[in-house]
Amino acid sequence: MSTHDDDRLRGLFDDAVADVEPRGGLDTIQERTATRTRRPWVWGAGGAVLATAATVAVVAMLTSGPGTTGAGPGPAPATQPSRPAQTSATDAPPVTVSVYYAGDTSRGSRLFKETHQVTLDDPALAAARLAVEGAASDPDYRSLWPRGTKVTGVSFAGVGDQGTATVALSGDGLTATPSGNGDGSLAIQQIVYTVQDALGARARLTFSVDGTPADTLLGQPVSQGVTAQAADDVESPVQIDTPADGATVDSPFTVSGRAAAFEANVQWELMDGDTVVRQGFTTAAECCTLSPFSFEVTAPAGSYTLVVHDEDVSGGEGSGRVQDTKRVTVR
Amino acid sequence: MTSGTDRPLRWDADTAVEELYAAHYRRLVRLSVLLVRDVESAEEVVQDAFVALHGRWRRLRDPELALAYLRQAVVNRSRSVLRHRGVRRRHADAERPVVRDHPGADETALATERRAALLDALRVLPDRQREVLALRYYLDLSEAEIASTLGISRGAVKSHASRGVAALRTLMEDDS
Repeated sequence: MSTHDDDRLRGLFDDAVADVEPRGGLDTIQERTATRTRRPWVWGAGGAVLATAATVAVVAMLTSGPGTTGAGPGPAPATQPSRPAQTSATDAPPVTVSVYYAGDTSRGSRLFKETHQVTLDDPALAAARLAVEGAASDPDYRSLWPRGTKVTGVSFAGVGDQGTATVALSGDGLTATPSGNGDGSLAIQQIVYTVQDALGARARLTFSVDGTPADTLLGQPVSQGVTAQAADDVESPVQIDTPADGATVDSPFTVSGRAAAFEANVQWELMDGDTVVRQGFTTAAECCTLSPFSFEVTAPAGSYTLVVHDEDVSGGEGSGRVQDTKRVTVR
Repeated sequence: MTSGTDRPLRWDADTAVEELYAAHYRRLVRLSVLLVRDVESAEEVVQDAFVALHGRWRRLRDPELALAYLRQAVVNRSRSVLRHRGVRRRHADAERPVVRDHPGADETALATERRAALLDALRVLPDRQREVLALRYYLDLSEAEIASTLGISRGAVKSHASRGVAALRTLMEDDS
């Protein structure tokens, strides 16, 4: 390729989008980022709806200091499932929650689990918001919910796995099957998985949209409540739990995750650009169903991409394998 | 890691988003337009990328790393948009032309046509070729930068680029 051609192409590309003037989105961005950093949380809308149910855990917590907003939550009601202990609303310690996002795999969109720290008094609400708003740390992950969807409350009634969690949503276009992102069921499973983990209960989930109980959500019937589908059907067959994307680690470092792989074989490479710096394989605890794996990596200081994948059954093209990648810096 | 000033390192996430938005938003939207074609999707893609950046600023803390992250997020999310548009749109090909803020006056009609020709041609290319060409010829990234943005080898960047350029040339000649 000659320099002349390169220059011509640069000109063509510049020119092709020269008249694209974005309307500007700083306000939209700030609106979306503000909800995660500013406290107290926006609980007005959800609270108003939820206050009708006496056994609602969230409301019980939020209203325990009468006449105040964001006052310290009182003792948890007896119907509440196991939930991290709360101290005070003003300096609640960070709580670790699992948030499920969608990512693309060779088997279509699947869920990937990501760990987040939240300081909100209600971890289930915080986790559900993270899942729906799509603020994944790993750029390969995303939310399947329509833009602008808000989670306004998560309430819980009943006991443990027999209980029912109700997720209050607001937003447009939440009834119809979305135009992209599959049939809507994986989006719903994003919330089911995330909320169940945060509650520590395999509870059934029901939904409300703008204060009205939802019969249909994203084209899926939900009036009877929704339970979690089997992990092997909705989760990615290969997932790295640690290190997180962008993490800085000491060498040697431990990689842990879960995989559902043929003969439980899990392969990995530590890449520096296109150079394989280290590689190896390990086995997950069980074959063919999601089960934990871990291995140790020793590497010189530097920035790498860690690739963990199952065995490529497509004949070396790389298109058949399922993988998860994390960028790591070894110090 | 980058510049002499240490001021950016003290940015909080909000400031980082504001500064990076001011410096890069338009260019990233244009990059995404090259990939997904319509401005509305492109803006959503880039806004999503900034929201994600806000969430991980504490771990990036560096404008260069942050920009690399934004580029990667924009490319990945643009690819998702295309994928999820799916069959439905493939059949309604010219359904959604690029939204132009300044619809063509007579003298710009030709320019508009020329621009559309490249965007149309890009649309036909495989994802990787389109991405490599956009990163190379619009963002002026090096082979190594493209490789790390896309998570592919430099050899693959090279071959996607040369195939992409060849395909583009054929397509654009066919058009005119």
